[in-house]
Amino acid sequence: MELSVPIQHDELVERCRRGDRRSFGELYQKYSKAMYNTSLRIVNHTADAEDVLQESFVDAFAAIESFAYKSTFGAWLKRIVINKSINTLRKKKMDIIDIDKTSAVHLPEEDEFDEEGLKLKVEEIKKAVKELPNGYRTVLTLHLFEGYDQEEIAEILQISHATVRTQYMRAKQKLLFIIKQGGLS
Amino acid sequence: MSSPLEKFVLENREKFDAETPDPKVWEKISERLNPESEKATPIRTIPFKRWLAAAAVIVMIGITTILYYSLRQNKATEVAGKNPSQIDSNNHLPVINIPTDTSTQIARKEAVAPQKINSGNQDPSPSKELPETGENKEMFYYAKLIELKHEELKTLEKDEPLLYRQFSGDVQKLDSVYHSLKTQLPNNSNREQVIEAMISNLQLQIGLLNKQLDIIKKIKHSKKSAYEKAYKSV
Repeated sequence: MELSVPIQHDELVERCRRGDRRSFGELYQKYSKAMYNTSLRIVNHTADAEDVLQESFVDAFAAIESFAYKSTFGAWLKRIVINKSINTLRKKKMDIIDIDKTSAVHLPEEDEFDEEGLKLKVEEIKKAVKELPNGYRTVLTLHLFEGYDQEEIAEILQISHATVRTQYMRAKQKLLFIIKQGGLS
Repeated sequence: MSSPLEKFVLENREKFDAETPDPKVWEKISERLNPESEKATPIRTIPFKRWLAAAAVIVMIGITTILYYSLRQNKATEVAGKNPSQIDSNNHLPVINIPTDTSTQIARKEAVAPQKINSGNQDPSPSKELPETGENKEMFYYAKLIELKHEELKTLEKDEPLLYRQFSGDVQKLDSVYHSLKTQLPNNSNREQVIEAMISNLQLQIGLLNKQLDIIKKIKHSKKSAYEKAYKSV
């Protein structure tokens, strides 16, 4: 899911490392939109997402010298954004793991939705994601939109693989349920 | 685990990143980056200050070197065209007249580059019989210095004959040791040691003469102030 990184990416990061102020602006222009949307899907609140964006870029610029090309710069920055987004949710005492109570009622658990028959639209999915509870939404977006695998999500959220797996399955079912409901109404 | 939903999202991934952040976010970020760049400017001035310091050190070294060489040249010419009456008048011997221990320090510094001392001065000196070596020149230089200090000390003879006799006696003791060393030199197998001993003897002589001149200066000063005091009280 990560974009392949052209060489100029690295050059831009290198210029930032040398303290070139203009390159910071370029880097922001390049990544801010994707990072903002990533955060917005998790925190589900524009002002919070903007705060996360601001904090993440300030931190990333301050720590840019420690960036060691273990991943692309985008992936590195995204981890900062995701960690800050999750912290924002936690600060608001929004449950991340213990969410089964709220949603279990509506879900015919093992009964898969007929995805094939569902006409998927970008706007409908976006709207449905916003309606998911925090825990489901976080796990779902980390896998569905950000492309992290179960292990990575387990590490990010500090929960077990099994929890990630069940949470994701339920989150997806709920999402499809919401979409279907929306389509019917 | 690739369901139709996942496929759809993957295919339309970019469309999901449609929201744009408020431009104020970048304004806030750059505001927070600014103080750091201001902090960076004094860091840039530190190298400048260092350059300044380095330049100052170089200038100081330059001035010291120029002073050192010009003073030494003056000294050499005065020694070459030695005129006892001139030397007695004290004012013509700027370096050698400094009756403190610093002049011995200067003498030691000069000993570091003894071969630079003008060997063209064919003056009667204890080094005449010695071969032309670095030590020889060093000793020649010290001998000159001692000679000049002796001349200076002689001015004391009229005012303080007792003190002068005592002082010159002390110096002569050292000088006799020097001469005995000198006579040993041609026969001694360990030349280096003897020459070293001779040089340190000369250095001792200079140190002694400096101390003596210092004492004389103090005496003169106290006499003068006592006189002035007495004059004022009258």
